[in-house]
Amino acid sequence: MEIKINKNIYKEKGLKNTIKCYKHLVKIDLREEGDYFVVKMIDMGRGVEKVIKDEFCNYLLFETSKCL
Amino acid sequence: MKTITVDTNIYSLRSIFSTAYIFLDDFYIFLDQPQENKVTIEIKSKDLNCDLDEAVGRFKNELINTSLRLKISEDNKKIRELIVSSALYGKVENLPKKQLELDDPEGICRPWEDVHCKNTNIHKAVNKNTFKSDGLNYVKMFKCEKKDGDKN
Repeated sequence: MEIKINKNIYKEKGLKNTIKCYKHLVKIDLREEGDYFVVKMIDMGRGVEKVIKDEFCNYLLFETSKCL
Repeated sequence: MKTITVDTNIYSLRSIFSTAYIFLDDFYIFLDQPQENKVTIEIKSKDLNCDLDEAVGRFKNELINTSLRLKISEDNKKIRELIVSSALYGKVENLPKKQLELDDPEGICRPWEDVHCKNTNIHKAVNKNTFKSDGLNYVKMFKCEKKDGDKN
């Protein structure tokens, strides 16, 4: 599962804090593609796969709000 | 899921984030910028029975509310800082001296020493907790008259 995160909107610091918080739930691979950070989620536990992407994005929004 | 597109010339990114933050409890929100000066907001409800159209309407209203609040906050920034600094430090700059003097017809603002300590030979003992501030001396003062036989 991949999430494309716009660099002009979300802050890198917020993204790194979010990844730090979620790394115990899912294996996360981060790379950059132009104006986007691409977050790849691997080996997520059963039961969390449906909500983890949305929860991750909400947490990222919260972390970025703190950086503004 | 519903998507709203917002012009960043009208609503700042900060006001979009502040509004989105209010809705985080009940909705999943994701932002993107497909083109310059346009931000798309994807709103997905956590509750399947939620009326998304109504939620989108509330989001738009809250966006106006937040933008206005931030603008007022920005406009009043200087006066707010002045009030806080004067409250914390007791300093009001650029005011005439007469305005800063207290109106004290009863004479109750005189220091205790000026009223009661006419004897200049009074023994002043200052303990470790003594502290001073601008213009005011908070000095703990007490008499220490030792008599023969007193242990304390």
